[in-house]
Amino acid sequence: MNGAFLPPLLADALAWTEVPDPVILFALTLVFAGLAGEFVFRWLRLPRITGYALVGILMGTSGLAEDNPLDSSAQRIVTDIALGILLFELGNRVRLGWLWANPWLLATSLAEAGLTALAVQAGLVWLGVPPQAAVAAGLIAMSTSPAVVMQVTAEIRSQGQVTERLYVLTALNAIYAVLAMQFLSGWWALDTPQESTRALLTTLYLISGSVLMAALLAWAVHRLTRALDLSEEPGAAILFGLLLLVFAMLHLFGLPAVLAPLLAGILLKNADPRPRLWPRHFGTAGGVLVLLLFVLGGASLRWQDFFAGGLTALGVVLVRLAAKLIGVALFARPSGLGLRQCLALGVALSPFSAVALALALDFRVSHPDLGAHLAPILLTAMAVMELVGPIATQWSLRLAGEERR
Amino acid sequence: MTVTPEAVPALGDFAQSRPLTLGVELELQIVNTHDYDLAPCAGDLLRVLKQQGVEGDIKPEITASMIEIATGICTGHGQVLAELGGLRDALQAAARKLNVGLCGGGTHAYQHWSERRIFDTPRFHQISELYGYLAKQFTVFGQHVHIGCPGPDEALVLLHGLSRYIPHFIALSASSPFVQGHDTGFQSARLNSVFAFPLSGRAPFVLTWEEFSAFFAKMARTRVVTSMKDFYWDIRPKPEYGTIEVRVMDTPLSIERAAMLAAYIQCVARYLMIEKPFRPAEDDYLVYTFNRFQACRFGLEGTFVDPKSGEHRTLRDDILATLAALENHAMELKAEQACREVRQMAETGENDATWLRRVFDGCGQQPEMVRQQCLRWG
Repeated sequence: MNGAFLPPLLADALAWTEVPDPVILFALTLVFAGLAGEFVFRWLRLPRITGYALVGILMGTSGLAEDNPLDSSAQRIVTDIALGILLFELGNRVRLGWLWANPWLLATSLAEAGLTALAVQAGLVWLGVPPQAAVAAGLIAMSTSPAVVMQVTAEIRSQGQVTERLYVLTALNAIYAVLAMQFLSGWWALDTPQESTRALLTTLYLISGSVLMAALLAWAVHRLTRALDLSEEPGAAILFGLLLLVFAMLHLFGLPAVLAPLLAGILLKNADPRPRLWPRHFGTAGGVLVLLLFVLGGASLRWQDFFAGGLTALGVVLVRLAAKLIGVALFARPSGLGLRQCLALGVALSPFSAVALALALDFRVSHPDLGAHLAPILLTAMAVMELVGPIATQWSLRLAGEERR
Repeated sequence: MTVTPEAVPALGDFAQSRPLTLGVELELQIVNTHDYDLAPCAGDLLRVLKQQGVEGDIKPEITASMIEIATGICTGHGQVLAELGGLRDALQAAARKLNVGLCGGGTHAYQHWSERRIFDTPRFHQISELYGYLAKQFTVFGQHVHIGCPGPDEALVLLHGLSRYIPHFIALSASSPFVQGHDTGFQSARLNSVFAFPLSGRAPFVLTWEEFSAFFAKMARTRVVTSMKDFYWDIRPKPEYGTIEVRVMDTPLSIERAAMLAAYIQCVARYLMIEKPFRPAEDDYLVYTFNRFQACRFGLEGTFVDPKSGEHRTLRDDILATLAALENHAMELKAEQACREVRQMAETGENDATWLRRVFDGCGQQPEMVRQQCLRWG
């Protein structure tokens, strides 16, 4: 056990127990993550999740994360519910009628995502990454982290045009990224004729399956909200159960985890225009799960991860930011956005994690050799953005004057 | 808000205006389409309107979730309705582009005053600094109607004559039963927040411009006020326009009702100017606050005490009696349709506050009620 990275208190606690007890460790993780979140929020006015992630990274780097009492299935339960909640909440902020009333917003979405994909891909090819891997990286880089966006906007209770558009663009670019990666796998399979039909069918299956699961979840939540108050324990418990069930089924049918809860939120919002309100993250229990999501996200990183991708990864981060800024700026005026808001929106779109991580891991499984090229670059980019992304989003929303305090 | 003694401001002359012309100002709510709380998007709306080259009087108000539309100088009901319709449609198009909703109503049912953002102009910040939370609490939405007057003395006579009818205007426009998430029991709770301002109430009882100027000079010398804008009276003279401005109405839930109210006020003004049915007197104001309270609290069902005879009747009955006296004037001003609408309201006893309560009882949720307010607006 390498204790050099430990905060002194934690070290004392460990010395006292001699053999680190996983439960005590987990308890201390909760305490320190909470303290760190509150500290950075109150004194540094930074997002709480930056504090959570820092504690996570500290744990991961010190090797303490390996003594985590949450085994992989428990971890999966926590992250699935938390991510499901956040994606569902995000979907529930997307009113499709807005895209119809303001087509320039749809143009903005296509521009920022498309430019990001192209720019990252071109940059990586130029740096000598194999073209196929570069294409995949570009598509993965389109997605903004829904988890960070939801958490940061909820925390400062931001409201206004930048916030509203941030929700829509984030939801859409997550959908683009997931779908594009599915199509890409199908497309590559076309080289072998006997595989092509199966690949296309698989893609079709993944999409229609996700939509079906989304419809089921949306319908169930709709019935639930009519019968129960989701801010009370029974309502929240049923909702978490439903989310877990959906994830279990997605897993069983080999469907992507991101699409279904997001689409379910969108379906629910648009099927019935009546406002449907619940406390953020469906109450305190959901909030704790979200905290764990970010701690565990941090704990999966080692300090080496910050350097593995080298300058290439830093390049990806910068090119991605520039592409998103330009993409938003192209149609800012016709879509009704001011200059300052346009800058803020571009920067606010920069967080890069959850969805991208899931996609990158899938890619590494399905294409091991190409994945090996990408993994260090994407992982480093994500590690850097894990810390910088939430701060960027928070500051830009503040700059746009959308913080509500 | 103080000035140095050597710069005591003057009231200025009363401008020329065509008698009985009218102008209408409406303060509107901007809400988001997620939880239908107020949304600070006035700046965004104004920017989009400017880009689209929309003509017309659309202004920011003190907090960023209010926007004000105003007609030009109109001759009557039809023109007011047409101009308000044009402004509403232009604003509605911009609002759709920004995914925000617009609606009428004197208060937002559950907005929290501490979250309001002051619209970024020096005057609004100055007011906010002076009045503190009152300025944000003042996120209430009213309709103002200007009536053109032949001269300053006539304006003051009309002002004090119209005071008798203030309860009518309150009851017909009332649309603010909910404040800070609760049913207040009032039909117009908005006026309660106007009352909190030190310079609210009524104009002093003087019937000549000379006396009025003397009053203003005395007030200005105390340095309590610097312009007519600092008075939050129910009716106040607006010398720059040559009008008097009736300010007690809640913003109704539709432009049709706003135009109806303006036309009704115009008819009453014509009746007072031409028939001179009674002489305004200081003693008329003995029952003023009682009548006003009754109208705010109970709307059309409220008690009205006749200032001349001391007789008690319901406001509905007093409005119906007034409508009978207005018939010729309504015809002259082409306001028959508007007067028919007023009659219908007086007969059924239902105003916008009744409608809001009914919608809330139906759905049980204030956000859903605000959504329906938006649908009713446009």
